[in-house]
Amino acid sequence: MKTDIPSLLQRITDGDETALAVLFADYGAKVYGMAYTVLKNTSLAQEVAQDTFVQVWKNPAAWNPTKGQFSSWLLTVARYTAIDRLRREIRRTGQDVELHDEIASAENDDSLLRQLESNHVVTLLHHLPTEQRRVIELAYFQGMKHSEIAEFLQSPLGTVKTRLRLGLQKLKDLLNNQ
Amino acid sequence: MRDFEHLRELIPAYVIGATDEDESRMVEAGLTDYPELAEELREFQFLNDALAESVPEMAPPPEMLGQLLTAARGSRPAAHSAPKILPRPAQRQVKISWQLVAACLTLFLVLTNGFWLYRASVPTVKEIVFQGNPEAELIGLRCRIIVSPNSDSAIMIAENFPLLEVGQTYQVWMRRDGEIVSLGMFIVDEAGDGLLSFTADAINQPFDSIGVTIEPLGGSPAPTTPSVVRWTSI
Repeated sequence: MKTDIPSLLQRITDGDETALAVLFADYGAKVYGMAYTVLKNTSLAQEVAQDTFVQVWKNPAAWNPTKGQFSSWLLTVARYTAIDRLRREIRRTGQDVELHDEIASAENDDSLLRQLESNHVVTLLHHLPTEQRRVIELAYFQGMKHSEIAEFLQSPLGTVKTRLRLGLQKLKDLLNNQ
Repeated sequence: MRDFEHLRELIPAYVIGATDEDESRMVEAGLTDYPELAEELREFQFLNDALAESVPEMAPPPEMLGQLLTAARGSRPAAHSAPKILPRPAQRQVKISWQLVAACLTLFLVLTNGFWLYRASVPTVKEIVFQGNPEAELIGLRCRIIVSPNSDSAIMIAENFPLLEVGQTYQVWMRRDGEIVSLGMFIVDEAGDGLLSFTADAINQPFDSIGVTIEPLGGSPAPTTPSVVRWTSI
């Protein structure tokens, strides 16, 4: 039986901590996985994952069922929370390039790589030209904007926009054709 | 009027949050001018969701659930109503302290250090759908057991159970090879929720069924009432 999300969220609205524990049991590994993928740091990922669930606890009505699955929404909250935290860390340490480089080295993490490679979407991502895949990864997992990617890769802004658009369009087509 | 084609080209990046601030403003304004832009947005939202779901699950640190419950308690907004104290004489037993619950869960997760490591590959969160009397199904009564394959402990989360009368407790029973043994007792809070921790061995071994009965406070050596709910092992 799937968790009945609306009733779980209603219980959270009523301040039911068991409901929060159930939500964590169901989604904790997904949320923590997203936070870690963005931050590549266990302590920061833990804080971000906790912040994500606390956001749900404080405002369970933020999820609008007409706009998509709860899981996708929760992961989007986790991703943006992680990206905000990443930006704060970059501002705090002033280690823009080093931090991004460290995160980019996720490709060297064998365990993570194996899990990623076993994933369907990531498999499709590897069908894209390297330069398109790279801008998607920078945008999606590191929260970079067009102009930031251009600066980071030392590429013309127009080129970055085109690569990102074509890459995402191709990925969407690949997904639709499955 | 903004250039539709230009806005359409920005949609994929906008959906994943990659547009710069001025571009985001343009897209948002364009969404009101061009209904077909909203359709394009919906199509790419599917891709955004697929990317989110593509991220591998990872084991959170074992202490995280306890910390989360503590943090949640400290950040309870005013909108949350205070715990409802119903004017009923029941439950004069020691009520569940959520600090204790958090501590139990934390202890459980610490003890089962490997639990989350197995979660991605092994279905460690077992859901038990109780097949009880029609009244139980009507109120959405539900239990789930969280257990690690290499742990000594398991936790059962009971939800939507009827409130107990004074001097009563819920008792969980397991039937194995014709023999009925008690797994323990639990009471429920005002929402009808309760927790019970017991040894994982109990459910890691084959068994016939698990049932919950209402018993006198302190428990009984054997069930004295019909099962409120029961789950038969498949």
